[in-house]
Parts: sequence; C-alpha cells; structure tokens
Amino acid sequence: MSDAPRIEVRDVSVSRDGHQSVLADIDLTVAAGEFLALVGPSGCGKSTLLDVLAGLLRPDRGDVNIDGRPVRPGDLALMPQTDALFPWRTLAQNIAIGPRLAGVEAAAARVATTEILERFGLGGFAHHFPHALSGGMRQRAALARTLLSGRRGWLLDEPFGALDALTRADLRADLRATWVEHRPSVVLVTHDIEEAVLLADRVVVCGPRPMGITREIAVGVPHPRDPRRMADVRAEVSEALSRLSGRSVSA
Amino acid sequence: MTTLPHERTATPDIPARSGGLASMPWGRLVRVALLPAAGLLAWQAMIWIFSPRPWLLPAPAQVADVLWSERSRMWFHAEATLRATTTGLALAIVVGLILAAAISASRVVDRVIYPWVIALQAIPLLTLAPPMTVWLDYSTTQVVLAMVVCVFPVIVSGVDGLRSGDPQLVRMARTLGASRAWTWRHVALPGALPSLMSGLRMAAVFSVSGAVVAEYVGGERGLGYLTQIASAQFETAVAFAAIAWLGVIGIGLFLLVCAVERLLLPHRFRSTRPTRRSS
Repeated sequence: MSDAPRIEVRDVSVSRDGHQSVLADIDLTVAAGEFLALVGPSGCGKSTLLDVLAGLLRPDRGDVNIDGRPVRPGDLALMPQTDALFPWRTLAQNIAIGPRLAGVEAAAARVATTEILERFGLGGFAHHFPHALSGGMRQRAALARTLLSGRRGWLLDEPFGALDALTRADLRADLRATWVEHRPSVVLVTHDIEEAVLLADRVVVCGPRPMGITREIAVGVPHPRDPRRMADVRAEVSEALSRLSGRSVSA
Repeated sequence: MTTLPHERTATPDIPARSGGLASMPWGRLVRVALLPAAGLLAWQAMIWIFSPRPWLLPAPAQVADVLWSERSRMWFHAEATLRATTTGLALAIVVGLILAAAISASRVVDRVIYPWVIALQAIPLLTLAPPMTVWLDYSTTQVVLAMVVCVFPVIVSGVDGLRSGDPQLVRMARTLGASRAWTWRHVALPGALPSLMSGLRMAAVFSVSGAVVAEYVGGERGLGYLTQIASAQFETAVAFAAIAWLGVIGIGLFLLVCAVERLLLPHRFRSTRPTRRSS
C-alpha cells in the first residue's frame, strides 16, 4: 500500500494560446493509495488537468510532483474513455506493451499477461483483435493493461463513459475490486456523480473554465459501499454542482 | 400465437439466398471471370460476323496460339519489362517511404519539399522518357521512369497515413513509457499502413506503364517494344499477345500487394491472430 505515489499539484495554471485560461491555480494532493474523483461539467478542463498530471502537458505555472519529484510521462498510467487499444495488436500483445517497455522478458511478460487476462475473464480472447470484442470487454482489457503497466498511480479519464449502464456497473465493480486489492493512487475524472460517490475516498468538484476547485467532499464510507447509504454524499455533490451551474448562468 | 403475414413470407428467403452461386467454392472466381468471358465472346462474334483479315483483327484463338507457340520470344520481352517494373516499384517504395517519413517528421521538409512533390505530379511524367534517354542507357531509363511514375502515390499515401495516426494511441504509448522511436515504429507506422497499401496498389499498376513507355522511346527488348514492332509489321496477334502479358504483369503485381496487405494487416481481415507469436 505504501509504495503507491503521492501526487501533488501546486498552483497549476494552463492557458491556451497564451490568453484563454483553462486551469487556474489548481492545488490538489492525492495521498498514497487514495482514490480521488474529480467531478465537473463537461468541457471544464478536466482532461487538460489529466494531461498535466500525466506529464504530457507542461503547465504555464505551477508544478506536479510525484513523491516529491517533477512528473515525467510514464510516471502514472492513463486509462482514457476510448480504450486506446492498438487495433493491430491482439489483446495479449496490447496488455504486454507495459511490461515489455519496462524491460520484462518476453516469456515472463507472456505469463503475466495470460494470468491477468484470466483474472479479468478475458482468457479465451488473448489472441483476438480488439475490434472483435464488445466495448465492455475492451475497456476491461484497458483496465488490465493499466494494472499490468506496473504504475502505482492511475489517471482514469471517464473510463466507463462510453458504455451502457449494465456494463458500466460491472466494470465499476471490477475497478473497485482491483483498487481494494492493489491500492494504487487514483485520480478518476467523471461527470457521473454516482460513480464518483461509489468509488472515491474524496470527491473534488470543479468549476467551469477557467477550471478551479470549488468544493472537496470526503466520502468517509468504508468499502464495500451500499448505494442506498450514499444518498447524503450524493446530495452534497449534486448540490455543489448545481450551485456551479447557477453561477455560470448568472455570470 | 398468430404469425404475421410478413414474418411467414420472410423465412423461406433465407435458405434460398445462401444457395446457388454465392455458396459455391468457385462461385467468386466464376463471377470475376464473367466479364472477360463476355468480352472474349463478343470479340469472337465479330470474327464470325465480319471475318476480318488476321492483321486487322486476329481471333482470340490466334492470340492464344501466339502466346503458346512463340512463348520463348514472349518471355524474352516479358522478362525485361517485368524486371524493370519490379525494380522501379521497389525503388519507388524505398524512396517514397523515406520521403514520406521525412515530410511527416520535419516541418522544414514539409514546407520546402512537399509542395513541389505535389506540383511535380502536374507534369505528364511519361514525357520525361525522351530527354532521359539522352543521359541514361535504355534499361536505366526504364527503371527510373517506372520509379518516377509510381513514387508519388507512395509518398502521398505515406504522408497521409503517417499524419492520420490516432493521437489517443500516441498518448497511450507515451504514458506507457515508450520512446519516440518506439512510438514511430509501433504506433505511427502501423497506423499509416492502410493508407500506404492503397497507394502501393496504385503504384504497382502505374509502374508497368512507366516501364512500357520507356520502351517506346528506344531499346530493343520489352513488351512495349514488342507491341510497337509487331504492329508496324502487321503482326497484330503478337501485339495483342504482348498486351495480354502486360495485363497479367499488372494484375499480378496488384494481387501481390493485396497479399502483402493481408499479411501486414491481419486485424483488417480476421478477428484473431492466425499464428501465435510472441508479443
């Protein structure tokens, strides 16, 4: 549990083309092994923040540190809404990319890949190309790839946004079980309040452009969570969000 | 439970559709051969109706006879054209890929060279053949012309393909810790292949024209040279036989590119990897 990274965001600001501000003075800390959810209206700059966290985008001001060191691409694993599986690689070949790039021997990577595919119920599809599988299976494979990447900090960018409700519930349960078992530090970006409240230790509500943090809500309910007991937290998050939209309308 | 009329009538159609030509193993081949067969029949009908002199219009059977009885003469010329065509095509693929990679990788190359690559296509390149023979010998002219004619589809399809890569996959590669070289080899290049293969199919067909036109300008070997000489001497059946050979070479190269495409892009044709391979 303790080897998961601590992610620190200090006064990060990003603007497009030098004037239009996208992120304004974001201050955020994700403790080692914490599950944090970022909720906000769509187009509020959440994905930009994830790019900054992933080290793919350099902020104009401020910095991101992983365990006290400046972030570099590859420090944290990313799981986007589109599964981003390589269409010309089989599931096994896709999932093996992380270990292979980390220098794991081909044979060892194959063993680990087979094992993880079995565990995610994809054992029979190791040699299938992604296009032959359903959206839910592909996203489950993307979760397996995230886990096998060996990174202990995960950035999840609306990972279940494109799935139907039943599949989404399944995958949420998979994600929760995986997190409980491995305890990585997670930043989940979503606009699904239910998802945020069911999965996260802490929910951060973000305002529209320029994106800033307007509210932090600690969930404080132990896992496994009963959806019926989450009503208070859900209400609190919705209220924070609706107050936001009220402000943006009057502005 | 009552059955609606449209449901009842819809059912018997299904087995009927799967029967017949479509389900026969040779069905596809038969359908492909329909048009040439009709063409040959029309040709033969002309012979029967008008009975023209053989030098005006030879019968299909006469052309077939030439193809067989003069096969060593045909092969002598076909070999030269085939060699020039494949060498030119191979050179075009190498040069075209290097240029496409440079254009898509470097902004300077893109701005300085690429507009002219496009502009050069406006010149009817086959007209370069006569001046080229001033500087080069005939067989070299042939290879260079075949190369020049088919390098453009390679460059343009390569640049388009390399630019149309999925940025999500690049992001994914970078967060998995991939180097720029790995990302090029494993993301940009495979992403460019579908477009590139379309360009290669065109290039394969163009390369034959390039080689043949060079033979018109000079030299004493090749199917283009043979069509010209045979026509001048009213050996029309020989000219047609040479054209048939050219068609076979063009179609053969086209099919070869298609076969390579199936090898390189198995995911476009099947749902699982055909042979297990280490990742």
